[in-house]
Amino acid sequence: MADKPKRPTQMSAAQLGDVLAEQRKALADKIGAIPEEVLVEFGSANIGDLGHHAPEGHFSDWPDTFTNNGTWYKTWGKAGGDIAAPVSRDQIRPSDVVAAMSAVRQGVKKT
Amino acid sequence: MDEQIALKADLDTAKRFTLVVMQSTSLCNLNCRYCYVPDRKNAAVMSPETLDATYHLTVGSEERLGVTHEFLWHAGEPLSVGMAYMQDSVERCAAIALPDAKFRFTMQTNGVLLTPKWAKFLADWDFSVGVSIDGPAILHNANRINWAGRDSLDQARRGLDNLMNAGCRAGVLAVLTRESLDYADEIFDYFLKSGVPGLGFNIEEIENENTTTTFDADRNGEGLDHQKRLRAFFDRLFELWWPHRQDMQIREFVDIQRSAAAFRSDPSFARSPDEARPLGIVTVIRNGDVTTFSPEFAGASSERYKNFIVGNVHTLKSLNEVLDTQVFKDLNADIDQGLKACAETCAYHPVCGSAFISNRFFEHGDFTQAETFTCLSMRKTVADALFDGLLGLN
Repeated sequence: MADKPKRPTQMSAAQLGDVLAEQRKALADKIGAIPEEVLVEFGSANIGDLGHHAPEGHFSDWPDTFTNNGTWYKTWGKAGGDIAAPVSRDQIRPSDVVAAMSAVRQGVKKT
Repeated sequence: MDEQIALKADLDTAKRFTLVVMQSTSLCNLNCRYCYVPDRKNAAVMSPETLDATYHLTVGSEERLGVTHEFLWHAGEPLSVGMAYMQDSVERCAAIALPDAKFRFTMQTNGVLLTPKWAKFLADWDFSVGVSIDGPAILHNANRINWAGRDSLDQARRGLDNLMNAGCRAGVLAVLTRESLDYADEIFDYFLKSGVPGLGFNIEEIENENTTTTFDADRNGEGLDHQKRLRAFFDRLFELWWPHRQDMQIREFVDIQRSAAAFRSDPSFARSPDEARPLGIVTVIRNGDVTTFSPEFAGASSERYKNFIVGNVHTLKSLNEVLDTQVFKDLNADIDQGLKACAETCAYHPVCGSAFISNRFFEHGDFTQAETFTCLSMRKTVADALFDGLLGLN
């Protein structure tokens, strides 16, 4: 019987790196193989105009905010418009934001 | 990139949007078996002073101009406060908001109290409303019952219809329990026939008051092969949904598809959940206490994080003061560690972005572990079903 695959916590950093790289490539390949028109269908103009019910449903879940090709999206919400202009970074971490805010509050320019 | 431009970008991103979760009451007319909200028989409501203080810190604050604030009434049942209270709540907001402030109102309701009059009120104030319905009676009524143990589906469905008839933006949130996974066809048919334009799913979670779920055996590795059942559910759901995607969005598919499109055009892209951003989500509890990151922290206990309270609207002069509190700093540092763990160990990070912050805490007791039962179920499995489904269209 084949060995059970190791969980990430049971691997060395090098093993983990290799496995992750392989998995990321597999995922990227899979996404890359999806026909362009299918993949962008929801990424651009959203889907059909459903009159007053559309285009956004609402859920109490917590959204994401991201940009693609200069358009801002809130996941599960409408794209662009009221989310304001694009910025140059699309992934931030709490520590980045806090550091940036603290620096501005203290009048410190990052050099 | 110029460092000052990078700094400005961080600030702009952080200030773009804040979801303000208004827990004006914990009172609920239902006693759903999986609910995580504590104190659901307490009829106390948020005072006018607390409402005003919240609005002054957000839409009434010069420093937050440019931020879109979404006020989400949520937990227990928001309609239980009565229409006069809700009208006063939104009027106060409109009165305090600075002329250039941008805000919108949203609500998550069980729909039972949603009369045509309520629906008109919500439409008049341009609310987006989510209704909690789990699907056909066999699923919904198994868990969503009132305090006398009676079913709630007929009333909830009437509420949803009233909402759509009034022209309100509506969506449905359905909780998936272990039993639901055998009913993909029935769930899809039920919601497609309802005419609701959007459907989202939450898997039954370990959160706060809800310490056990129908998935416990699966989580502990003792049950049937959970991932296989879940995968079969989403495979079937995709198959049913794709021909009808113009009629009804399914949040889980749409969000991952959008993220995948962004990832394909920019390989450095990764989703960045508002839940993981400081002040991306601010939850105000009835007494004015404030939590940030996941709203599920409201009412939760933790010695290390002082029950997750990072301030109170009555004493804060600015929401940014939250960032200087020790509780916030501890929380932020630990959450950041978990986010890094996700980025460094999970292939799905680009289309997930380390969501489900509170699930880490409630499942593992800390924030540093990357994988949760929830992300395995609602991100990885959904992504696999979606991508394979899309590839199968060829």
